[in-house]
Amino acid sequence: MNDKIKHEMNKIALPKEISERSALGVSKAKLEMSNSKRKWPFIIVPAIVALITLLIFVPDFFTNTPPENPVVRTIDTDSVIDTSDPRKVVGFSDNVFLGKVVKKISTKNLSHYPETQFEVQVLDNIKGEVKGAIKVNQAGGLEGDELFLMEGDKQLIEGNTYLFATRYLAVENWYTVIPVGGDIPFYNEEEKNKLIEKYKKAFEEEIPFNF
Amino acid sequence: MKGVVLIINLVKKATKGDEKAFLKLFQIYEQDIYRTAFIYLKNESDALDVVQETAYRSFKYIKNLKEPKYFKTWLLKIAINCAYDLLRKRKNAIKIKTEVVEFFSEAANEDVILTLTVRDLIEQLNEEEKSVIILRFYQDLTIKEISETLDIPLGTAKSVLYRALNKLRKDMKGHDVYER
Repeated sequence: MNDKIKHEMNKIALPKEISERSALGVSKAKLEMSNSKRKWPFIIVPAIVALITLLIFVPDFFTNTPPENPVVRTIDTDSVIDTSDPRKVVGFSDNVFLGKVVKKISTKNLSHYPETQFEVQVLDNIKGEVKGAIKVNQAGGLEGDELFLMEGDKQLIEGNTYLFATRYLAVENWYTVIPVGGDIPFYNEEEKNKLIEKYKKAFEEEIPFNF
Repeated sequence: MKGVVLIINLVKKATKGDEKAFLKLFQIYEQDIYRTAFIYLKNESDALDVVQETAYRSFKYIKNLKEPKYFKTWLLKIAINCAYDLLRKRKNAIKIKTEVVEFFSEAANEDVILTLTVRDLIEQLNEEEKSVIILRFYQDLTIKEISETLDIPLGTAKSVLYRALNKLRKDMKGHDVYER
C-alpha cells in the first residue's frame, strides 16, 4: 500500500516553477519580518533630510508635485545570490539577453511589494533564446506617491536599453529581472559590446544556483 | 542519521532568521508539498499557490517550532492548512472537476489501473480522509503522528483511516493495507 500510494503520488508531474514559488514565499515572509522590526531611525532620518532639501530647493513641492516624482523607498530583502558576481547572476538566470524597454504595461503583484511589468524588445541573446517583444517583470514600482525598489536597483526606463538577466515564470509568462545585477543599462555600442563580452564569459564560467 | 543532523542544523539556523538555510530546508520537502496540495486542489496553479503560501507561513512562524525534529510534521500541518484555506476560497467546483479529467486523460492510456487509484484519492475521499491517507502512506507517519499533525484524537485518526481504506479497497485488492 505504501509503495502503491507513493508510486501514484510520484506520477503527479512537477512544474519547474516549484522552487521559484518556494523562494517567493520565503522572500515575502522575510520582507514582512524585516518591516516588522523597528527601523524607524533608518527611515525617519533620511526622510527628514529629504524633506528639508525639498523645502529649500522646491518650495512648491507639496502643491505642485507631479506623480512622476515619487519618494523612493527600499524593499528590504536578502538576495539568495551575490548579484555583484555576473557568474552567479547568469547561473541563477534562465535567460540573459539584451533588450530595449518599449513601455510599462501593467503592475500585477505576486508579492506584498509592488511589481511592474514592461514590454521589452529583445535585441540579442546571451543565455537561452527569447525573441521579439516579451513581458519583463521587475520587483518594485509605484504605489501612491512612493516608488519601491530593491536595494541598489533602479526602475527600468522606457526607451532605454539594458542587459537583462531573468528567471522565467510560466504561470504569468513573464521574465522576472534579477535585481541590481540583472538590469544593467547601456547607452552606446561600446558599452553594449563590453557587456556582451563580459556576460558571454560569465556564461561560460557560470556558477549554477543549487536549489 | 547524517541527513537528520543536517536538517536539525538547518532548522536551528532558520529559526534565527537565516533565509538561505530555510530555503534549503524547505526545498527538501517542496515536491511532497506540491503533490499533496494537488490531491486536494486538483490543479497545478492552486497547488503552486499552496507551495508558496506554505513557504511564507512556515518561515514567518518558524520561531514557534519548539523541537527541530518535528519540522517535517509541522511543515505538513501548515501545508494541509494552506490547502484547506484555499479550498474554502474555491467555489467553481465544476471547472476544477473538468481540469481533473483532462489531467488524467493522457495518463489513463498508459496505465488505467494506477491512474484510477490516484483518481480515487482525489475524487472519492473527503479532505480529512485525503489527509490521513497521504500522511500515512505517502509521508510514512504513524497514526499517533497523524493525530498530532491534524489535531484530532487518536481514535478519530484510526476510524478515518479505516473509512478511507474501505472506500479505496475496491482498487486496492491484493495490497496489504494494514502494513503498520
